[in-house]
Parts: sequence; structure tokens; C-alpha cells
Amino acid sequence: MKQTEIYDRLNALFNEVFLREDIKLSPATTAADIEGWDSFRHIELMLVIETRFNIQFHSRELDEMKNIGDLIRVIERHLPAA
Amino acid sequence: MNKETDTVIFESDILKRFESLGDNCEFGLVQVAVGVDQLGFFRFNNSGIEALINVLENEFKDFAAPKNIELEVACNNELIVHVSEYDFRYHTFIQAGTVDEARLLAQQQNVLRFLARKSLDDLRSGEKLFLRKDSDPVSLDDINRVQRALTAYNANNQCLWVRTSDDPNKAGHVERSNKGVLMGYMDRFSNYEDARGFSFCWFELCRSALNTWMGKNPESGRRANREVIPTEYRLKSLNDLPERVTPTMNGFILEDAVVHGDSGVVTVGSTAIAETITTGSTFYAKPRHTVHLAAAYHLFSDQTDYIRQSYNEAAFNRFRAQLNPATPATLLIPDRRDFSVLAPLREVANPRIPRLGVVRDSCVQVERLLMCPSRDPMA
Repeated sequence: MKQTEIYDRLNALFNEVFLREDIKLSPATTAADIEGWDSFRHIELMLVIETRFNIQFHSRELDEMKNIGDLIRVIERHLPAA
Repeated sequence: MNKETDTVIFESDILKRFESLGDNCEFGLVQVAVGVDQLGFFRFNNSGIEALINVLENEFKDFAAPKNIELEVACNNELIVHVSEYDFRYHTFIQAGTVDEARLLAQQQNVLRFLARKSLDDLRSGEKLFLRKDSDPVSLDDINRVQRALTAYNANNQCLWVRTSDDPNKAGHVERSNKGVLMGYMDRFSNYEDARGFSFCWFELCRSALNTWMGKNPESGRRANREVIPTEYRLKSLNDLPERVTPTMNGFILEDAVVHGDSGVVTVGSTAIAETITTGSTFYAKPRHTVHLAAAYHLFSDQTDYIRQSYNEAAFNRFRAQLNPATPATLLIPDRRDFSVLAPLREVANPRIPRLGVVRDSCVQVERLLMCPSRDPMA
């Protein structure tokens, strides 16, 4: 899966979870940029991402994600090579 | 910043190595204050020592089983999740009657399954220092059981047991028991009613504990010598500093103010002016080196979310536009009594503003410190 495709899927997923239509993710997007993205919502997001991408995050990966760019890289690492 | 930045050790780099084992959310909030927002089951729940030992010894068995999870209604009508098998409770921050409870319960099962998996990952990795704090009396035998349970997952695992001590020389100090438990001492814990009013002593304690765990000198990387607090160095209000305080339309200018380390302790001359929520608790360091700031911060307390570390950028920019760009070393802080907000200020997501870290054996000195009003003066 290409990075652009991951972005597109994540964009749709974020808008769905936050019940919005205007979220546009960039590599620098952090929790501070999206209203309501707190620890509880973060868990929900990670669960949905794991399900939709059929992957499972490791604890260290979860701890080290600082922004969407990090998240994309972790997802890429778990997906089979294109 | 000068070349001393080479030795910067950010509090966040230290605190991310710790995993809270309860008993309440205080340490989780300490981590959040410096930008460490790690997910962890024990971080935001109330757990007794027996429940903790039980879940560790049973490797989270049946932790998220539907029969073990129920919703309770608190006296404020909030829904509380109760893991009955292990007797854990945590907040949902959702009012009863506002959601489909069956759906919420199913969602919480997934959350618990996810967090249990993450906890097991952490326990097996041997990369974290597990911190247990206790305000109520707990026996060392119980803590030894926690240590044994932790090392059953990974021999490298370490329990840090934190308690308060009346001896001011012990605050921030860490020692190892003969059973291998690290024992740390705080001057105080925050109130259960509002765990955000935590002591800055946490930072010193975590640095010592991490160094001890890693086999280093507990003193290495410390921001300054710890000293017994002299009486004259206790907190004073700004009103007690008439000749050093200049009111302006934007707040107050404090001459010769010093912000110590990353803790947010501020002194003017020999007087500490920073306050935490609980009075009578102060932490500071003796100035040694000086780091000059090249940028200004300003956050408006009424419009700033400290937990999420976001701030009102428009208000910030309006305020900054009033400053003389030639003025060096100006640090702006909000007019709040809770100076724990200073740590998140440095973590705000603005790459143009250099983040302050903890410089070894030093403090951060500013030439002027503006105490800003609690509301945006331009709004």
C-alpha cells in the first residue's frame, strides 16, 4: 500500500471517529491539532486502525508515535511490502 | 541558547521510561505535563495493592472477559467501569443516561483488551521502570510481591515504590532495598480530589531512579544540588516584592527573575515566587550556569488546554507583536498559581520557539520575566 493510500484511509477514518468532514491530516498533525483527541479517543483510534489495516501495534510503537507522520511509518512497517 | 544545549536532557526523555502502576492518576499527569502521553492501563485508574498484585500474578487472565466488566454510576452520575474480577475502577467521563450502556460496555471490553495487551508488552520488554505510589500504608512484603511478579515477566523489570517522607533531605532521594525494590521519597503527593497539583519533586525523583536503575550515579544529570530549604527562601507573593515588580498594561515585569531548570520554579533574588496548588511546597535549585533565551512565550490561561498542550496561537501572536524584538531573554508565563503549567509551555508545538530542557547542574536565567494577566489583554 502506498503512503498516499494510507493517508487517504486515515483521513477518512479520522473524520469518521471524530464525526467531522474537515479533518485533513499532514505528517505534522498531532493530538493538539484535533479537538477531542485525548487519551481515550486515542485508544479508540488505535483500535480502529488496527482493525481496518489488520495490524497490531507494539507497545513501543504506540509510545513513540508523536504525530501522523510517525503513525504512517508504523503502519507501513506492518503492511506487507508492495 | 548557548552551547550548554549539548547537555540538555529533557524531562520527557526521562519520564517516558516510566510506567505507572497506580495508585491513582497523579504520576500519569506528571508525565502528561512534560508531553509524555503514553497509554497504559494503570495510568488513569484507582487500584489497591492487592488488585495490582493479583492482575500481575495472573497475567491479566480474563481481564476483559464480559462477565468481569460492569458499569457503575458514581454519585455525580458519571459512569464508572468496574473490572470486578480484579476490582479495578476507572472513569469514563460519561454521564449515565446519555449513552447506550450496552454499547459502551462492549467498547470498554475492547479498550481493556487493548490496554492489557499493551501492559503485557511493556512487562515482557524489560524496558520500563514500573512506578507504584502509595499514600496509604502498604507493607514492604506487598511491594516485594510486586517486584517478584514484575521480574517473572522479565528479569530486567524494576519496581520503584514511592512514598512521602517528612525528612526534607529525603525528597527526591532513591535507595534500593535488600530485596531489590527501588524506594523513592517525595515531599508530598497531590490531593486525590485534584491530582494536577503535583510536586515538582517528581522530576528529581525520576531522574535519580532512572540513573540508579541503569547503574549510573543517581546524581548524574541532575539540574542542581538539592538543599534543605532555608526559611527565608519560602514562597512569597508578588506583593512582597515591591521594588522588583513593575506593573505594565500586560502584566508585571519582574527584574532579575530566574526560572530554575525545567521545573517552573521562579525566584527573584533569593525569594521563591512560584507556587504550586498546595501551599508550603517549594522546589528550587541554586543557579550555576546561565542560559539566555532567544524567544518569548505567552499562553493565556483561560484559553489554553494544558493537558492537551494546545494554546491560543492568535492570542499569542497578538501579544508577541507588542514586544520589542530587540529585547532578549524574555519569558512570559501566565498568571496562575499553578506553575506546573510551565513545563507544558515549553512543549507547545511551535517549532519556531526553542524548547527548554534541563541543563546539567544549571538553571535557566531570564533578564525579564513578564507575569501575564490571566486573560488575553487584547481580546
